[in-house]
Amino acid sequence: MSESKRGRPPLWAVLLTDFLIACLVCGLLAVYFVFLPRTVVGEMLPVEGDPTYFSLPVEGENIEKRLEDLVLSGKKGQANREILSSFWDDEKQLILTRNTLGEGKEKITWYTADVYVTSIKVIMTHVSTDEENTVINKSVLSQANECDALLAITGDTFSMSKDGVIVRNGLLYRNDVRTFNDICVLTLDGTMRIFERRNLYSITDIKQARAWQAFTFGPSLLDGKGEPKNSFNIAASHLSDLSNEHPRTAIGMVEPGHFVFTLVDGRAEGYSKGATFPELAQIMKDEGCTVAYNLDGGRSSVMTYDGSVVNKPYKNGRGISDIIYIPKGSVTNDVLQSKGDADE
Amino acid sequence: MNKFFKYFKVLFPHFLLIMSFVFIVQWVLTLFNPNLGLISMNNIVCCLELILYFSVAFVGALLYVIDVYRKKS
Repeated sequence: MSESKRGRPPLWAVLLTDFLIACLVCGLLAVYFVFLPRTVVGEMLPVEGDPTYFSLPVEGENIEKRLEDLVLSGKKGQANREILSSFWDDEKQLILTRNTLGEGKEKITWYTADVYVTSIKVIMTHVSTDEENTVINKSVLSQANECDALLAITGDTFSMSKDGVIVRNGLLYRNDVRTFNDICVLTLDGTMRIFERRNLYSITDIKQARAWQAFTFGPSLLDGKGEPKNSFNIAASHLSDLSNEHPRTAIGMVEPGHFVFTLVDGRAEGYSKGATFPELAQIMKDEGCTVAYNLDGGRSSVMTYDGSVVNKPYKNGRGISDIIYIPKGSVTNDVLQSKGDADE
Repeated sequence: MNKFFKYFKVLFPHFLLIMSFVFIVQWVLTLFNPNLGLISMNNIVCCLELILYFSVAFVGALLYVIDVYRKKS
């Protein structure tokens, strides 16, 4: 008896050893899932045909005033709207507005960029990587400056997710359709489509939709007729997001060729409380959207315009892996050229 | 073979204890941020079922280890 006891460690030591081994395993998993940089390499999607081209809504003289009138006439709701800037060239026309609703603790402030494009290729994305294709998190502003972006907003921060369909500027980065997230696809037809799991789509469906961009975050906010959804697919998002008010980033489509980028500030009482998903859906409806999709929010929510940050990011924002942007210069020819080179 | 079973019998409860504890930690982490943990919170029924199984496994393994050491001491 005494011999067997002498060779056996006490119970507390055995349990402590088990606990320490478990902590070590947790640490290794954390290193793998959180700290280890991820490498991303895109594969060119075989896209058939050219993108659909649209006419810009305002041509001729006095474009600025007519464009402002056009944009404001499409808005609904009780928000106070102030036009901050406008831009137009041969490829795009853009109006940036600051909107407020409510008073005091209930006040919400959001920024909206109405963008008319001649082709979906004007809506571009940027993935921040180093020379070895390892994703590096950078601020939206520094990424926007790298791309010479006119307007930039937070993307879906896909380096932090493990599944879904990711397409960036026609490059397929991930094709895991097992995700429960809604998937948002900007197609070469100039439309925005939402793929929901319940519709049992496959990667072939997304390829056939001629995806130019595909985002995996969500949820989808509107039902396709412009009405806010009654229930949101938050299965894969933070469980309390539906009832909590946070800074939000969203992209929406009014009609093919006319897109809305919205950024709701939050967590700043008296300036903007943030938005729940139902509130964000209502905002997107009031912006005139028929389809709308939530992107990465919270501290990640940042919008930049012409080299400076437009909104007031929570804690000055954070580094993220990717942005959606509208370039300052003409891109259509450059993109077509680069695609042609890659095909060869 | 007997030697293998001898070690397996001793080590298996510890292995179960460690892995079920790791799973529970991952599960709790996933509640705070879906990208931190191993598991996906996509299907809430599946998640609740898994946490139930692993909680039972953890408690069972813990009680087994304590029981074995008490008897041998």
